[in-house]
Amino acid sequence: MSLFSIFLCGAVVTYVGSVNNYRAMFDEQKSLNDSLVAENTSLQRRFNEKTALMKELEVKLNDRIQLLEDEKSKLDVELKNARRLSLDYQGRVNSWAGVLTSFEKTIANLEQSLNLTQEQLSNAHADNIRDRKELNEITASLYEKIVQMQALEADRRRLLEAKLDLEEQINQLLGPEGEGVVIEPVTPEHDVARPSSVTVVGADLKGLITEVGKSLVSISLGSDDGVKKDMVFHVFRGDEFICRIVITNVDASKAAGVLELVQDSPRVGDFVTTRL
Amino acid sequence: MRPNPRRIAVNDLYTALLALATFAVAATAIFVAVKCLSDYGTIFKVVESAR
Repeated sequence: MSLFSIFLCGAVVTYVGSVNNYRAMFDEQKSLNDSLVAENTSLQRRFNEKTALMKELEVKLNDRIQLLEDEKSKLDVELKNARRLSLDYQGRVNSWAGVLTSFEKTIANLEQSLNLTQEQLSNAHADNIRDRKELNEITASLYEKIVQMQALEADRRRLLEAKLDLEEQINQLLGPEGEGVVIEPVTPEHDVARPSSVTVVGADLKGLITEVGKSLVSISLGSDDGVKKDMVFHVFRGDEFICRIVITNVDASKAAGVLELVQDSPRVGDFVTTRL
Repeated sequence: MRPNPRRIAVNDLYTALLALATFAVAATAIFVAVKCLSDYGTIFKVVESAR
């Protein structure tokens, strides 16, 4: 009986010594549970905060999405308008290209006609120079003929005077019965062409000298202004009389003539008029 | 009546064995009490949940 009690005491001591401390384990688990609950609470609070932030952000993003949708709609409308305008402008560009092509053809034709006109003008200018040269030669020849005619006229007058003197001497030699003797010339007298008288038109024409040559002077008046051949213009420089111009050649917008009664050499810009 | 006569141990070995057993029981009881007191703060009370 004593041995059995000793054995039982040993068993009890062994069991009690080896058994777990459940209170310590409980306290440990409890503290762990408390920490987990606190962490859970903290996480729940953070979750709520994040949820609120997410909802707020969602609202903002929805507003932003709505704004972007509106802007996208506007941009779509503007894009359609821009495409329509682009097509319109493209059509205008095509039409202007056609017009430009026709203009280029027209300009090419005009350039061609201009070249032809310039060529004709060059030919006309050359003809004008040649005609002016011929005119100068003819005018010089005319002056020479006039001088010859004046010399012949002087000879004719001198011969006429000699003839009258001879007739008077013959009459004196023949006495009274020889009165009225007229000597007939062997060569019959022909009608001689004489220069026409200078015509002065009564209209008062005023102009300027535009060109001065050796023997010809051009004025700024022509047939359009009523200038005719053989008209006489008086040249003045201020109040000073310079010379007289007898028109020999008339164009539409200008005329040319020879100088008479030259008091001074005419210059370009001198005043010409038909009346004194 | 005749008084009970004094019992005399037959052998001291039994006495020593009985003393050892008594000591073991007493030591076991003290050990268990100290253990319970140190672990649970009480000897006889049943520990309940803190909640």
